[in-house]
Amino acid sequence: MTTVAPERLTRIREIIAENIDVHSEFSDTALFVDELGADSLKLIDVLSALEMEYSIVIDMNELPKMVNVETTYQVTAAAAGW
Amino acid sequence: MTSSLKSPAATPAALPPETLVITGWSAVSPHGLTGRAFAAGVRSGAKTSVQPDEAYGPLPSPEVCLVPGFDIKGLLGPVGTAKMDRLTALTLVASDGLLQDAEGNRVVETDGRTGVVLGISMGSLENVTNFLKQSYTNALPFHVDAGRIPFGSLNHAAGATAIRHGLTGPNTTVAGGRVSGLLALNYARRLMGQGRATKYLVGSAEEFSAAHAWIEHTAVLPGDPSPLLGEGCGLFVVEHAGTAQRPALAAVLAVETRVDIDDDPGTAVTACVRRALAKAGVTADEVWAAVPSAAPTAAGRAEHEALTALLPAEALTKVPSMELLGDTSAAAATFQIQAVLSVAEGEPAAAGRIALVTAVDRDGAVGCAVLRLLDPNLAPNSDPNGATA
Repeated sequence: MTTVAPERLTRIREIIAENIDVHSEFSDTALFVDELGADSLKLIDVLSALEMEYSIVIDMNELPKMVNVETTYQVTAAAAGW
Repeated sequence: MTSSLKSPAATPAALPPETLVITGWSAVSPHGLTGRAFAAGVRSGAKTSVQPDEAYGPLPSPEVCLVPGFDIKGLLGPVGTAKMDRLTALTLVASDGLLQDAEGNRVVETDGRTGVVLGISMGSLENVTNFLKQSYTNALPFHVDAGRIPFGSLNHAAGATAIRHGLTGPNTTVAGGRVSGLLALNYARRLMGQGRATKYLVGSAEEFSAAHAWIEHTAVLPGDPSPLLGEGCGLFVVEHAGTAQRPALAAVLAVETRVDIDDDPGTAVTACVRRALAKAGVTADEVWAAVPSAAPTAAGRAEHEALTALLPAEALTKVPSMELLGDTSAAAATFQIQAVLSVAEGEPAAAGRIALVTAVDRDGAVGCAVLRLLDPNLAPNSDPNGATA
């Protein structure tokens, strides 16, 4: 389990909220599709926004793992080598 | 000059039932967010140019005619607007103003064959240029804001309008620069004539951005100043006279377009206007109001000269110059028709008269629409004696 850096987690939450178009509070385990109403296009928006933010490349095979804030942080951290 | 002696019937009942009639309109313009603001601004001849906000960065022209108070999230809400381009937002706000009252209640009936056709020039240049800039300057070429990709498609504003209001008829975008408002009107007329749609939302839109300003600047001839640019979206509801559900404001008698291939826009405008008048079955002397595009180009000047030579002098002064809105490019021709309707609304004597609108684009496209102004106080399908069908 990756050690979570609070400031990075905050920024990743912001990116997720903006790209999934969520305007209310949500937990780190809230499911993007089932609970927050995301569709596949918005999930790709999240992935590409994270790539751009951190100048990294996230393998598309990792996309299915990005189901909530927690797992998205882990995928991003692995790609960035945090 | 004989136009003041003519008094043609001003009712839809006097028209063939398949005649296209305008039964509603809205405008988001440098005069304000509503058609009412547009009409008041046009009639008063108000100046709309302002100094742009510093956030635009360096611009080639010191002033611009922006839609005042155009806050996308404030007007359309937070959902779906974070990455929305200005062109789409202008179109959606105009469509709300067209179809809904101030409380958001639907006031225009639509059905499964109500279509949308929108005229544009190049879509949202700001969106496209920002996207390209990201691709060229970020660490990797695919490090781009993918959420903005849908807004970069040329048909996005028309598609988003249909989705917002559940309009499942034909959905089309026509890219024709300053002539696009007339091209869109003709498109709607043609498809309704073929029975492919029962009603249309038709109009045109242009957004202002720094990218737009600099691209227009590159097209300026040496020695000419950068144009004063405007922006906005004008929309109409058009129906057939025989089935119109709302009072008709004007009948579209003819829309004629052609291309100036000889680099002689004056001759092309003259031929286009003559053909449009002939198709409409009216003479140049009958034209009560004429509104050229007032494009700040050689073609725009030639357009004005051609109309001056063809039409009664007073027709060209009925409506204040479109220069007051800046060069609104793709939105221009729609705003020109709406300017005529605004002036006619304040003049009861306008009912039954002929209005003519022309447009020219730098690529050689030329267009002309001939309208008969109607008395909106008469119900659709009513006979001239006042009995409602």
